[in-house]
Amino acid sequence: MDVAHVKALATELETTLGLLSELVGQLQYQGDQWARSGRVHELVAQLAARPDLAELPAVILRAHAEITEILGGIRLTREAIEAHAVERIRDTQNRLTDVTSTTESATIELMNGLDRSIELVNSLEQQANGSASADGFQVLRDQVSALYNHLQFQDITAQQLQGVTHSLLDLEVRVGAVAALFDQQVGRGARSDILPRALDGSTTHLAFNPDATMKRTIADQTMIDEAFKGARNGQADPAGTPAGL
Amino acid sequence: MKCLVVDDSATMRRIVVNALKSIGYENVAEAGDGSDALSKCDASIELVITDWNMPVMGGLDFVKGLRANPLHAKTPILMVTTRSVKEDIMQAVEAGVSSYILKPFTPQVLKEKIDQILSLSGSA
Repeated sequence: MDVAHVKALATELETTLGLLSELVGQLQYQGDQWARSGRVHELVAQLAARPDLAELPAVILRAHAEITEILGGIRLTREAIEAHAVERIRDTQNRLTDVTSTTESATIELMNGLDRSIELVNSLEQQANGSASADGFQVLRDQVSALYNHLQFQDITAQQLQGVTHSLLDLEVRVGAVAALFDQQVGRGARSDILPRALDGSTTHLAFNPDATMKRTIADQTMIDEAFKGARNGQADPAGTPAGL
Repeated sequence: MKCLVVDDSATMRRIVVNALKSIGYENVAEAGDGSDALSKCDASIELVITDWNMPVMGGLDFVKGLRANPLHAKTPILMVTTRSVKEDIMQAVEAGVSSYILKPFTPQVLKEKIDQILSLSGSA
């Protein structure tokens, strides 16, 4: 499951939610009609007594039957949302968690290998006992260290994947809220309390940064340094920070 | 000098520890989140390198907690994070962070920042 698949799934779900939103609007209207259905038979009996409206009772009865059928459809749609949309989202979340875990294990293995490489280089240097260039061994050690440093990608991509998982969780809650709207239509009671839970956009206290990226340059660090300096200068007495820093 | 590296990612902790060792800092303790770090911050810790986004207790709350301890009111703290928004930097400064590095970083930048904050705090 790569990011492109997740994106495609999100687009598909967005389209589905749009269609569902339209459908909910239509059903709201139908629901109002249906709410008055208790009077259908009384109305039909009254109309049957009027020869000038002879066809109207049949029309009303047909409309009533159609509304009842639509309500059956609502129940099926609600079940379909729960069975397919929510389950697919959960499945995607699980796959992403697996990807993160597998990548982390593989990265740890790579690090173990790099540690062994450094030990090997050190051992070879000792065995060479000055007969080979010390610079050569140092170049090898530097290369291994550089490889080590590149493994930061694992932490950063893990944060990106956690960001996608978090978005999917948010989507799941929203889809659940749409399903709850159908509950309202069939008189099972609203679950609209679910929706506000999905709207907290703050990332400060999250265990990951969804905006994490590998695309950082020296220029970005320079800008950070400038912003940090500016922030410090704008603060009279930063808590406990060494003076002049 | 004893350092404390705080990051929930085992990979990132290992990279930072490796980078520290490559520039001569051999005595390094590790913690997986802010709460764990606070419990390990005894008087022997002279330099702290922390991530921001972590479970249980994030880096920002950890730094505030550490600064509240008179033992560490002036301990150099380096934040190493992917967060780059100006408001984040403001919050980090207000919490008491001594310097700020963006991930992914190079060992050279790490050394530069450590040298800088240690010389200014008089610990070098």
